[in-house]
Amino acid sequence: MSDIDQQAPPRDQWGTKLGFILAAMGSAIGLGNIWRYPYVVYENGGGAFLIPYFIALATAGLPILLLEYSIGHRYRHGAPASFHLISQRWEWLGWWMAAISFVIATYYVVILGWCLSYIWYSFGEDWGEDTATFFIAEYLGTSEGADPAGFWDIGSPQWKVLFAVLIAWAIVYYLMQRGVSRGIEMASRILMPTLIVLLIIIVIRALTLEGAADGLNVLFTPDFSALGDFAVWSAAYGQVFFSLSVAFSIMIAYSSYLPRRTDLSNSGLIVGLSNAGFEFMAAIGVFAALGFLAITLDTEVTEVAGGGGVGLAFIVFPQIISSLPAFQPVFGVIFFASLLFAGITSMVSILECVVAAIREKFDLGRVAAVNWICGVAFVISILYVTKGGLFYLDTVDHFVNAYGLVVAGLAEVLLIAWIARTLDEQRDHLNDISYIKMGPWWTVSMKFITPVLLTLVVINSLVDEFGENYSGYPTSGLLFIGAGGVLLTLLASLTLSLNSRVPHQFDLTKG
Amino acid sequence: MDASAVIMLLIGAVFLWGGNAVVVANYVRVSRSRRKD
Repeated sequence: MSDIDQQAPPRDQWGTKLGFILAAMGSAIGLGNIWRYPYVVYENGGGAFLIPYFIALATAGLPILLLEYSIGHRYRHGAPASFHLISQRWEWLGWWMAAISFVIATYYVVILGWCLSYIWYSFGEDWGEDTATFFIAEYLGTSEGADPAGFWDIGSPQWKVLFAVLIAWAIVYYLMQRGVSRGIEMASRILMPTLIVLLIIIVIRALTLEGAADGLNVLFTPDFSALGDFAVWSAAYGQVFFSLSVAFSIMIAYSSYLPRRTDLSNSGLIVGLSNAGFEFMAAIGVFAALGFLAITLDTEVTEVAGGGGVGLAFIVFPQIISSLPAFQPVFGVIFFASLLFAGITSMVSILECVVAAIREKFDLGRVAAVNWICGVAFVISILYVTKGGLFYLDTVDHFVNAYGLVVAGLAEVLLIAWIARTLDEQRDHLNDISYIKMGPWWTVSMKFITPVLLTLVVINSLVDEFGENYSGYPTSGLLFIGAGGVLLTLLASLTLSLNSRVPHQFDLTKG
Repeated sequence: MDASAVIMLLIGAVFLWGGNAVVVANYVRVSRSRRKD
């Protein structure tokens, strides 16, 4: 061990390589795999969407994922300190990624709370016949049936939702304060295999229901003319980008906890392809179930499909569960437990990249950092359990994803490929320790394809943004809660990068 | 199911699940050979 290594504080490490892979899979596989991906496929050419999706996976998703593995493993720090080591002036970018992750954590945990409530409701099918009214009006207490006119009607917290969110926070806090190996890894080793088994059960049940083939026809019948539409390609790159948890700085923190001698690229490919395989399987289960619901209601699959997201999970699926011929509570618990498990493993990863950044900046112990971060995030999360909480959650989610994550990811790629010009060093680092070597395609993807496509994704989002107000929300709400939230993360990151100091240095010549 | 939908389903399954199986098999093979070393 070099003198430089001896000066560095002891760093958390994964207990096993498998533990790291499961934790990274747990981070990538989240709620979006279950409720976003099926609809992206359905709305963008059906089976034909797989072509741009595979290309996006190969030219952007997997390359960026491996780049983040390389950065974290090479510099052995969270994102801010790693970017500081690449170029001191760019430390703010690491902080911005961490700040965006923090904001996402404040509302992600609220959805975990909803899942907990719905596991409980599954036993008695408490949502009744009108699942939309139950979820929006009775459970969330959202003003005037989710009419955007009630955007600013904040109201008081919904106590039953707050109670569920408190339990979700308690679970997340327990795992976070136990640390990387005894908390995150332990949870991932239990929850990820369980999640996969639960998904297989759901898919098998859905495929054996009447009408399943109709649902799959709607999902997979290809519309090849859609491939000429740029929006479809933009959707493919956007989906791959959001789904793999890149630009959150999670993978930088996670790979920094790996031992020096480890295979990076094969692990990255396992994580990337598992994530893609999982969401493909989820899409089959979701649309087979929608086919069944359409037959039950004597209507078309396109009529019951809705728009995915929260509505699919908490409005459409309760309807499907209640329509099942037998064991409705069992399948209700299985479905919402799947969402919960997928969400918990993602939530701890989102918090971990913030914890790593704060600990390194302020020399804090893990428990102190976790106390501060969870404490502040809990207070902010109360905003999302008010009457207008659903609007705020939706708005913040839209803005941090469309403009925070994508722009941060674009800046990350530009920094490495064009500004600091360390792309070859990152590739050499990956290739030195990995069995699967990155060839010219990786460099071409990082230098040209990914920056161009991400720029077009941002432009596409901006064009949509200025076309009409997102979800019909008032402009004041979108500016204050959405754009204001993103600007606040940027301001916080610039402030945190002031008074920047050189982190504990490591001998980068070592593998 | 329509033939075109079945074909796209199979393409997705082969690429995503098959690709995943290949990288997992590679991981197992490398782990075993490292253990032997």
